[in-house]
Amino acid sequence: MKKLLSTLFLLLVTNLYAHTLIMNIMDNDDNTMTIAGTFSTGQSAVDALIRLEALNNGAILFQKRLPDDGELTIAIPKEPYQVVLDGGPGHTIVKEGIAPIDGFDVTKITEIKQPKKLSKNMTSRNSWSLPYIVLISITLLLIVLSIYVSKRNTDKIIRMIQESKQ
Amino acid sequence: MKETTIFLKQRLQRVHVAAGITFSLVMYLAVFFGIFAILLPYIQVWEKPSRHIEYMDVTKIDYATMIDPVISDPNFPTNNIQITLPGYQHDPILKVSHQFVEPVYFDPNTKEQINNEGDQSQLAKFLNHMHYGRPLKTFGYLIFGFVAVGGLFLIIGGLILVIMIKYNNNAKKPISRFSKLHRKILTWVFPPFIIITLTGALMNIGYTASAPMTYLVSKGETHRIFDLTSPILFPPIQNVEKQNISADMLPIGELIQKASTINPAIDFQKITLINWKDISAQVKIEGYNPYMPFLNGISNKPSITLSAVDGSLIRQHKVMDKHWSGLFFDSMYFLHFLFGVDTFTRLLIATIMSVSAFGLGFGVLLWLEKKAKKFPRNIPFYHWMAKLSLSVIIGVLPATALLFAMQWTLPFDLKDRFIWQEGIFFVSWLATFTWSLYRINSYQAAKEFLKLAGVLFILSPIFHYINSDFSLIQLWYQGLVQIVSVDIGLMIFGILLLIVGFRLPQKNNEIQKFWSKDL
Repeated sequence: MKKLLSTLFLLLVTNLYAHTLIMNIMDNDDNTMTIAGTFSTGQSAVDALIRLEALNNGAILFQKRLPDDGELTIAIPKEPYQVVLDGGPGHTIVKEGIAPIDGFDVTKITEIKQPKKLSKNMTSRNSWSLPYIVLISITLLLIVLSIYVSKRNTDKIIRMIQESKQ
Repeated sequence: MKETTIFLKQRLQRVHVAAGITFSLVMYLAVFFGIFAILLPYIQVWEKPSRHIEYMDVTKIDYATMIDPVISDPNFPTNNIQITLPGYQHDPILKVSHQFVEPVYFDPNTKEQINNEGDQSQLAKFLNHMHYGRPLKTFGYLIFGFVAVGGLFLIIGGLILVIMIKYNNNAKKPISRFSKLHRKILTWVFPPFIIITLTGALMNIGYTASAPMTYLVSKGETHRIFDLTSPILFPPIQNVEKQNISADMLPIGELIQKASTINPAIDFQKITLINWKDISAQVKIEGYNPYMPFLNGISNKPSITLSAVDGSLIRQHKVMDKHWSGLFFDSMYFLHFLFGVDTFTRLLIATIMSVSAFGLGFGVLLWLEKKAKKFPRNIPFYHWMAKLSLSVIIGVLPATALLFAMQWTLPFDLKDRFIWQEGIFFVSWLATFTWSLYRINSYQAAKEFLKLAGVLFILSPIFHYINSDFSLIQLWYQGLVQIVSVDIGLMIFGILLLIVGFRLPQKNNEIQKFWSKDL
């Protein structure tokens, strides 16, 4: 049984992680980094957008689509930042930016008129939003009600059977 | 020898009954929602206000006005831009998309960008997802997949039983009627049903379960079947080296016309722009050849690749150019996906599937009737399986009707609109189970469900007229026949359910009479 379950689990895992986007950031130790985008299948994510966002105010420090070889080598920003691989709707990967050799200069901030929201890793929808709370509550109520009416009616039928036997 | 045959018959019948009742309800759901999935192209146009627009001839559209501003954006990818032509899957809009960007939609009549409802309107998609268990994610795929495998066993086993056992088709008792209808219907629909079930099983669990075999065949290189099959079935577009010399592009309408001259048999659906605005630019125009059904439409897409600079032919892919495995793949999946087929074929398959749903339903009724016989006639049959079956088979009707009614009553800008819609659907479906348990008489509950479903299905087009500001006559005169058809279909279905709801008997003696004589 254990073997069967673990085989089943393995099969599921292999299916779950098929064709997902992967971003790799490599520090070249010369104040540059190489960002590569690939699919889990090994296929290069050519044309996916790479964006560097300042952590302070969301300013876009750099953005470019991945060229034909699927990787970009760029200078590491001086200010704290995050790297975003924008793979279209529902496929955004965000990773913390690696620091330059001398570390980040926290005083250096790229000025922009209005601060922007930082991109976030695409996660599933908020499980505890209003519709979920309301609908799950009604579901629980209906389950309790089902158990109650089922018991009440079963008792009634049992009484009828007993009466018919007498 | 004779005794062995008797044992075989007995055991086969017992296994058929046990497996049948285990898989029947999920199988019924797959078939029930499959009918809506067959009609998906029409429902997805009906459900969205942005799709209430006229269809345009693809060769007469001014593509440049719409596409150029989108692809001129320096942040828009320059290669492999996809243009989905109006009319693809009966959708009247023009879509410009790329794997890594949010698609842009246009009304080809006005050339204006339209606001796609996106995740706010997913009725057709949801009905399709219900067809193969997607709302339950991997668990749903497995359940529906194993049920499809069970279905294959039941179809083959059932046919053997029909051949081996001499059934009495003339008996008038309800139990005999259910048995006869179950056997007759499923024997008649078996050829398309077995292909659809087989491909369904393959899609839900076949690919996942093929991992060990793929690993062995590829000598440990991969465990993913698509790593091996994709290069043959869905070969990627060959990379064309960019010259970095800008050039004027021929109008897309003209390129489509050129492609039509080269192969007039293709109904063009999609265009891929390669190295657009560069001297090396190409267009790959692909579609479906309706004269060769079963051989193209899924993995096999006949196409014509032209130079976007002078319109010269670069490559042509005809239906029979595909590798034999692709032709086999398409022929197997054709009946399941029905890509590119006409309305008549869709309606024919939908009818066959509706009849199959009845066949499955009669199988469940047969099992329940046998159980009910164990109880005295004067005692109501109150069994958990009867109530569950009632809720699943009949209760799904008012829940689905509510789903349709909500489509044009819930505001399109409501936050989490679709979560409310699907949530209310599931809750109302569960409520039908509670109601089934509440009513001791299952026929009474069934009548109520049918009447409620009938009213809600009739109300759906009325809500559509009120909230879309389109009347039936306006829709008709504007040529929006697909949308009118859905309204009429919903209305007819609702009326039929109401008629059945009123005609269905409720009292025990009437029920016996109904199944014995009235059919």
